[in-house]
Amino acid sequence: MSESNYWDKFMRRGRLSRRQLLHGTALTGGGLAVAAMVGCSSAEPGTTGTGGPGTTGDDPLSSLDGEAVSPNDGRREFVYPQDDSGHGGTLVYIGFDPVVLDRYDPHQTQFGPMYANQSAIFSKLYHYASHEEPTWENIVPDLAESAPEIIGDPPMTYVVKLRKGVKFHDTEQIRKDFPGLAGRELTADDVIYSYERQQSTTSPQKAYYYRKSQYNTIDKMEKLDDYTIRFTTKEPTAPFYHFMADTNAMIIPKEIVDMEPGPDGKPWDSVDAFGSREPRPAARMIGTGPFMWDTLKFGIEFIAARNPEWFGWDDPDLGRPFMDGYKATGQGLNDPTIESLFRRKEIDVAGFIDNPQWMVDFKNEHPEVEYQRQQVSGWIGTRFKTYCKPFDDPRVRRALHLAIDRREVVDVIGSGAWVKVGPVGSAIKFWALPQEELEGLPGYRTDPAERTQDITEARQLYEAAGRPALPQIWFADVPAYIPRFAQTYLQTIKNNLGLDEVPKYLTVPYQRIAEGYAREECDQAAMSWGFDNGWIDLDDWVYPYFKTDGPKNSFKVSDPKLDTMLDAQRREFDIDARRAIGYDIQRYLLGLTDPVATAAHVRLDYATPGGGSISWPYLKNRVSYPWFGNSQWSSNVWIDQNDPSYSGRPG
Amino acid sequence: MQAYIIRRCLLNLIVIWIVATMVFGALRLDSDNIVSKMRGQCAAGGSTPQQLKECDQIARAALGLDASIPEQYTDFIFNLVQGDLGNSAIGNKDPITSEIKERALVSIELGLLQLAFGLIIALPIGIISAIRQDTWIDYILRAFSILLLGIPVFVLAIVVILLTSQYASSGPLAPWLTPSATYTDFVDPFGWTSNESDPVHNMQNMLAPAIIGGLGSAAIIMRFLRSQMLEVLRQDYVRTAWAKGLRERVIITRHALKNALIPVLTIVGIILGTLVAGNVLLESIYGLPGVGQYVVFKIAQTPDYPAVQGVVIVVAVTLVFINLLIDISYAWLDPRIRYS
Amino acid sequence: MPKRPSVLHGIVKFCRKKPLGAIGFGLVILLFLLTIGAPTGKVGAPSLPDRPFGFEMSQSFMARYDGEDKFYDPDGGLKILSAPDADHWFGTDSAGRDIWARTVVGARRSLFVGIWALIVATVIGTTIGVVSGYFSGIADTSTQRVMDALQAFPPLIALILIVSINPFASGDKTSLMTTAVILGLVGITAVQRVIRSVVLSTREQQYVEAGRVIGATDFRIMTRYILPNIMASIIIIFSTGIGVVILAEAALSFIVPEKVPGGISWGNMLSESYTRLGEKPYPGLFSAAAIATAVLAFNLCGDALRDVLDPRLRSQ
Repeated sequence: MSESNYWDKFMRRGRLSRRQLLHGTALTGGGLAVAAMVGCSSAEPGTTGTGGPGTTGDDPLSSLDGEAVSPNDGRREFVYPQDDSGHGGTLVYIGFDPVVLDRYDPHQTQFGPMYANQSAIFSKLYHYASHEEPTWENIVPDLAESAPEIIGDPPMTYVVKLRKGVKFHDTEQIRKDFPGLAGRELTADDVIYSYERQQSTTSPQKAYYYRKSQYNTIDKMEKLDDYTIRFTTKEPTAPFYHFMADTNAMIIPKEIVDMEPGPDGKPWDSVDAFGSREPRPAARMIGTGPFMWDTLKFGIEFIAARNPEWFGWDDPDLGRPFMDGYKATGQGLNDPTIESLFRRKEIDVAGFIDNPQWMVDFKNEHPEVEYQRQQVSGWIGTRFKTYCKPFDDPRVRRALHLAIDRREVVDVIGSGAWVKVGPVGSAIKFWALPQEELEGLPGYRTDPAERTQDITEARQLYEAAGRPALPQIWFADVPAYIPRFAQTYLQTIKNNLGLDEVPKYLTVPYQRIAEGYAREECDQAAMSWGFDNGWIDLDDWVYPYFKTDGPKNSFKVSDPKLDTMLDAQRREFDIDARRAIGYDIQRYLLGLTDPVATAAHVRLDYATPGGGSISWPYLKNRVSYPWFGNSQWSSNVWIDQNDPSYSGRPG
Repeated sequence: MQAYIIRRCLLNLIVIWIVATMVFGALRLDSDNIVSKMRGQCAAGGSTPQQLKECDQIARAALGLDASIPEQYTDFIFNLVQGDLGNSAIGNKDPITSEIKERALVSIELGLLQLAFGLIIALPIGIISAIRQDTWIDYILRAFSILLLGIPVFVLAIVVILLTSQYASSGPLAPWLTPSATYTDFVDPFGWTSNESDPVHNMQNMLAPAIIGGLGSAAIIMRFLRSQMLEVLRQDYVRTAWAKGLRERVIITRHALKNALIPVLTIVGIILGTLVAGNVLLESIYGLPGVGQYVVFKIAQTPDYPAVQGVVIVVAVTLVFINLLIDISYAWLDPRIRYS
Repeated sequence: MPKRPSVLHGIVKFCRKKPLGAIGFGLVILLFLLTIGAPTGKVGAPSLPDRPFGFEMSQSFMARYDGEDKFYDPDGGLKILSAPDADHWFGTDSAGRDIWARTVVGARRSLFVGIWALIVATVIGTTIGVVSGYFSGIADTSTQRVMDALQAFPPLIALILIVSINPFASGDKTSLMTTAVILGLVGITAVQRVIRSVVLSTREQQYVEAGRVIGATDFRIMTRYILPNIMASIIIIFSTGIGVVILAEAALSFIVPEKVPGGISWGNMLSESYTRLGEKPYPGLFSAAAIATAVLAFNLCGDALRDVLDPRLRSQ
């Protein structure tokens, strides 16, 4: 993932970070994702996005644009080893995978880096070959044997056939802990179990099923036989196919869930066993994925081991995964160390944390390394509670939207390599407003004359609204660049709106902000700044956030015009028509249709980490995605011992 | 002597009890903050205030905060006496004792190496500075030690890493001067850790932070040693030795040094005290999985309150007994300070 | 009658005898000069960094610019990480702000956090040390056990712990004054240990015996006889202690930047910039230099003072 890392700060942090990094949990109604801890580290070969344009022209990565591998996601042309020399070896990279700050249970977590670990272990019915182009052509079967049979006009029924002979992980330890599970076949029961539990209204964990709004679109799930399931949706739901391929739609066996009674007497219902009950969560991570859970030492390393019985998608004979496993290390999260480790080939892939210059220089020095441009789909932005003064007045929100200097965000936080975003992240090129259009919009444009226009309009709006006092602004405490940027941001607001004083602010942990939203009080998080998870399908970007009573609607906005559009995109199965609706929604949110619409500017979106990563030529078939949760693609990765660059690689 | 040791041990137990109670109290004082983190995670799914209350109850139960304070306290002390520090509150919720055991070796090694380097650097400098008092050598050495005091250890470490990565990144020195992606033990005789053992790689991990940390300790030791030496050198018995015509080297080693070193032991004791606590900064920068880094993760990052409680108690216990060791060696070294 | 040596003569003599100490004092004076700004007229409870002793100061005279002012290139972009030049003596940082201005502003914070931390540590530590050392017996033993227990917390860990759980902060702005107090609290054990040992040795002196014989109360003895004796130690503790606190604050900002109050501080500047020290060293370089200079200055002063005031170390 290429995002700024501040793990070392916390830690710092060393960092932190991190630090850090320093965390975070997706917040209510909209999480601020803990992705905060995310730093731009090199990489989960399953991560990193494809490029977005550099915006300021001062983007140091733009000099490498011609050399980026493209496509660099699951659509890539994979080249497989010809003989045994391509098998074995362990990929080593620096990442946040070992920073386990959320639950192990795949359905009850919102923390990006966790998805990385979970996606190596568990499989889904379907998965995405590409986030950049998340159309149905790029949804590929994982546990399913083929695309679903879609019945109805408009479609409301989906029949999914599972592959046969998919086995759960099997090791000595698993046989000891879960004798009935080791090596058993995955069937329709497991699928129905995994989906049904997320719909629960009685489970003590119900608040942790963050994606229940997706599963609540299902009317019934019927097991037609051991390998066939029929889903019927309550209404025609265009994103339903997407829901089956979404990052967290993992299929887990019921054996690993702790169903012993919890403190309230009800079955606990979580892979994160209550208290110190055995087996521990780490020992329960048993799935059907290409890798098995080996070790996780918090903050230090996560090691995944090859699953020799993996079903291998449509080519089981290839014998994937090729590697013996991979190791993600959480140490050394700063650029000088990363460079040093990469040179010594102690890590096979490297990104940057603060400053891309080292990578650009390195690539120029070693043209043979493979460079991939990454863009992340998580982003930083601001949320307003529209039921609190003065944010109930759309003029105030628009004034703030215009007053903030997004170029500053890109330059200061992102060293020029970040990319501005609108309501749908730029990394998802298909659904997002065309970047050129976005860059020309008020609030985003940088031409000095136009910028002055925007600032003037901001001031006028603010005057017209009566120059209300701004309440205390809550900044998330991680990544560290957010609170650090607070002063700069507030200074800009003060100057551009002509305030007497810099607004007051508070640095708060994510969970506090989440709570602030839940409590619905106006002295808590009325205006907040934070990082949010990246999504794939249009629906996830807009529906839960902006629909009246949507689960992520912390703004408590209710705009009938917008609701109509949101419902329309949910029903529109023609993808081009759906995209057009998506554009309309985004333009509406950006105040283009009506600058003072009820739902205009309830969420201000600023920028998203941009970045890149390089890897040595001996590492083959690496892919990059804008968000975590694609480690299953590492099953294609192999280490070519015959490649000249392999010499000098330790171990 | 015997009685002294026993008495001190008993007193130490009291001290440990006080520490444990203070930590317990501190964390309970802040219990709302602790619970709010877990509550907030619950809230992220879109909770109503009512659901928040439910989440609150469940979080408290999971953290063991739902019982009454006296009950919590008795449980806590009872477990403590049996050596059970409880379980971590996050992630895999491993027992804290095993988490600390996993990391203790790293910090102990780093601490001992740091001390060794500190002494290697400080002893000669302190002695020379004292016997050549007020000469230009003395001024230079004192200036050097003062400079060392002023530069934060972490700045020094970062500068070294940066310079190495800029100028010597692919050279043979790089693995010795910059952090590594893996940590290996030097040797793990008791099987405390699950790391692999590789003495050479371990030295690559440890040397740079040990020397840099040692410089910091050296700065303190050398100044102290110097002033102690100065005082001893003025004593009558040293004058007598001079008068007798003994050579300088003999006077220093046979008479002066031994006596000057005794108070230096206190400083050494204080530095030894950082053994288990680990050097938080150096471990973070060099990616050493020791107790210091654990502290940063657990206190600052998450925070994982049971782990914080546990690690603080372990560190306190270690320090307190190290102090006892130092005091005993004091009494053993200096016949005048035998306690009855 | 021989002329009384003038103050100036005294100073020159000091400089000649203790050149390092003179340098130290000079630097300390320079640092204080950096902090001085015009009074705004507002008075109130001490708060840091702008109202350290009750009366508020506006921006330092020597700052040239505001620490938060941003500077722009002709093309409209921020002037990020530019090299030192006539306009920006120390260059600009990653958000286009003048580093010299931020260093000057940071001086105020470091100095006053240091001073207040030391005030807290010295006042409380001295009281404990005097009372404990003077009264002996049960009071002494039990206090010392508690002090042992407190001392068993390694300082940095104790700091991180307190700063992280800080019950006084509870989500609201952790004020700098609270941070200073916390830093001071951590230093109490060291202070009281020194003071107590001085008190113990003073207590046995003959003139204290004499005082008791003529019926002086304990309180009088403590204030009249013992306190003056420990003044020297207090001065030394104060001067060397500030260096330690400045370092500790920098270390805290570095390791847990999100727990430390926001605003401009040398530690913050360092932690923001250290990963780019290689190619854009200015913020890190100058903030590290500032920290080092301040610590150096106070240590040199403290050393010189100790040489002059501590009777045990007077050379023949």
